[in-house]
Amino acid sequence: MTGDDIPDADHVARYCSPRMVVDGLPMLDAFVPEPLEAPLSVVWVEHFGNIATEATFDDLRRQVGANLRLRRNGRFAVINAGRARDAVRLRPGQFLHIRHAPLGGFPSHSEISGLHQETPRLSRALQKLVAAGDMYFALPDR
Amino acid sequence: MAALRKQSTPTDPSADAIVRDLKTRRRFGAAKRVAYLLSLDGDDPDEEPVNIESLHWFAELLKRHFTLPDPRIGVKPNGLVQIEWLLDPPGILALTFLTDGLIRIYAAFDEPESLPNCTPVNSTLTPAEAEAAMQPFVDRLPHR
Repeated sequence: MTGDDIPDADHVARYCSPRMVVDGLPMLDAFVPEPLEAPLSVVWVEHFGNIATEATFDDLRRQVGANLRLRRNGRFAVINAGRARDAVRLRPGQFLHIRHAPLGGFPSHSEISGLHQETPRLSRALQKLVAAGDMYFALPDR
Repeated sequence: MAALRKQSTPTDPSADAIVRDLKTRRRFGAAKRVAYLLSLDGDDPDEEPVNIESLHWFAELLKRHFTLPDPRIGVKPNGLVQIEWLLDPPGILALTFLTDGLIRIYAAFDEPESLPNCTPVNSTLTPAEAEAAMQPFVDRLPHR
C-alpha cells in the first residue's frame, strides 16, 4: 500500500495535543499543517484492523505512542477518508490526497496533502467532520 | 509595533499575573483553561511552552471586549495562543496572537452565501484592524 490512496471507506486518525482539544473536540489548528505546505500527518486506522474493535485502537495507540509523545487528555480525531475528500470537492480544482506514507517503525503513518490550496478553509472542512463520537482518548486508561 | 508593545505590556507580564487578571475580570472559564495550558508546559519536547507575549495580547483583547463569551483557547506547537468561537449559523472566528501584537485572523461562515454581508477574512492584521474585521462575526455571537 505504500504511497497508495487510503480507500474512501477507510479512516485516518489525527493525533490532537491536549492544547488543541477543547470540550473533547479539536480546534481548527489541529488540522493546520506546520509549515503550511507540508502534508498533515495522520494514521491509517484500518492498518490495524476493523475500526469497530477496541483492539484496533489499542494497537494504534501502541504504534503511535512509540513514535510520538501521547499525553493524557490528548485525542485521536478519526475522519472517514471519503468524507474528507468530498468535503473539499465543493470548489472546482480543489482536492485532497490522503495517502499511506509509512515511516521506519511507523508503518501506519499516512498523510493528507493539498490543504495548502486554501488554508485554513480546508482545515475547517476537516474540523467540521469530527463529532464527539469520532474522538478517541490517546491513552487507553481514560 | 514597538510603540504598540510599549503601550500595552503590563507591569507584571508573568503568566500567573495574566491568569489572576482574567479571574479579576470574571473570566473564570478562560482563566481555568489558560492555567491548564500553562500546566502542560514542558510535557512534550516537540511543543514550545506557552508564549507569554502571545498570551498577553490575547488577554488584552478579552479585556477590550468584556461582553464576548469566553472563546475556545488553545496553544499551537510553536507556543502561540490561538482562540476560536464557533458561529451560528455554522462557521468559525479564529485568532492567533503573534508575539509582536499582530493578529492572524480567519473568519468565515461555512456557507458564506447565507450571510453575504460577512465576507470571509483570512489575514494578519493589527489589533484595531482585526477587531474591525471580526465585528460582523462577533455580532453573531451570544454576549455575556
